[in-house]
Amino acid sequence: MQRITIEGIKNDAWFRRNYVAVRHGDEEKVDLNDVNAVFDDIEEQYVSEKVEGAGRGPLIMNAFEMITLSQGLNLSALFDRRQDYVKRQTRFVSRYPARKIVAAIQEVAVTMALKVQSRNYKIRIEGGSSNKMGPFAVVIEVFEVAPALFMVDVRKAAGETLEYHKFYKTLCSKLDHVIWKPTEGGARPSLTRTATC
Amino acid sequence: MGCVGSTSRKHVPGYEDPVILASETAFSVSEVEALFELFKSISSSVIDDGLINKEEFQLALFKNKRKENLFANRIFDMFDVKQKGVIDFGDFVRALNVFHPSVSQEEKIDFSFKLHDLHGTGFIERKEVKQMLIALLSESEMRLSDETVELILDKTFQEADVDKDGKIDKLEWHNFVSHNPSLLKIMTLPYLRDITTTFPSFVFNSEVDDIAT
Repeated sequence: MQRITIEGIKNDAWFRRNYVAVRHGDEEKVDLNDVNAVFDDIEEQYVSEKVEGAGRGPLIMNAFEMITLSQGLNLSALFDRRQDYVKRQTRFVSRYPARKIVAAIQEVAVTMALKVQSRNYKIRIEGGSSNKMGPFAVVIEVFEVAPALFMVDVRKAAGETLEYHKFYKTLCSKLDHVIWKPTEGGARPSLTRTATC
Repeated sequence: MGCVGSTSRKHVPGYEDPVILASETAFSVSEVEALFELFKSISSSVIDDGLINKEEFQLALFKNKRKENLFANRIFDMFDVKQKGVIDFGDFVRALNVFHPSVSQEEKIDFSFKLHDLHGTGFIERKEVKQMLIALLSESEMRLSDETVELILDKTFQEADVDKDGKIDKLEWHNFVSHNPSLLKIMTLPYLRDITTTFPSFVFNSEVDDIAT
């Protein structure tokens, strides 16, 4: 007579009576339906689809669209009962071609063992609790602000802000070559910039 | 004796009857009462005087009372209708009303026009947009050359300034926003729909019978 296996126990009527299996995903605070909803919602309301068809180029942001990104215009923060100062949105500029920016970001996410999905110039990155980082989701979008000048907007979609900040710091250090940092100078900005900036 | 709130309502400056505020806005009476809970929390955070001053507003928005921001200043000024330098409860409710999901696009577009009209001239001038754009770039720690900023402004005005007079008037703004609806994203706060659950107002503080709402 052999000792019963785990499988055997699980299949036994005694075990199955009133049994509800433990679902390991429940601890994760990230509900991907919410992430998806945010993702789709952003696409619809964030920047209107203009002339560009799919595959033609990133959406172009005008001055007012950029202005709406300000934290000072995000009144939802009034309803946030947490006391810590958090920057949930972060962005940088790049002169790399838009497609290369997207590819570089995807590569970073893969090396960090994160799940990546992208559509045109929008990238969704998710991390589960299996990583060293807790569960979180981030949406990154590339916009054109001027000819050959792109703004990369990174925003937290779900998860802990601390994880988001850790991710953003790592992302920026790995994308250092992609981020455009205009030359520092003691002189006034208009004197240190070239016409191609 | 522990049931009564520490801030007696009648002594809060600018406190208005929730029934009146509800009748003038998209909020129900219970929602106005919930907003009062939020108002109390913000207005007592630096000076407990029942009014929101600039520091308290900055604290609520940025979790940093010393953070200066051009856009937060604009919002503050628009809440402070009577230009007292502080926001009272009536101001608070009436201003937040514009951000309610069920309020008309028209009202939101008007508010956003005034928001961008920094000097209140009735036009959004190019130099005002430049100032706002530079403020945004600085806030985001993004640096762009003056030429690039001018390019962005050129493109924006090309689309928005139909009569090419170098400034955007109300009608041009209305047209521009209808073609760029994402610009109104900041003008709606979905949180306002759930305000009674986020900021529950204790039943025994309520002055109004719930059935009346």
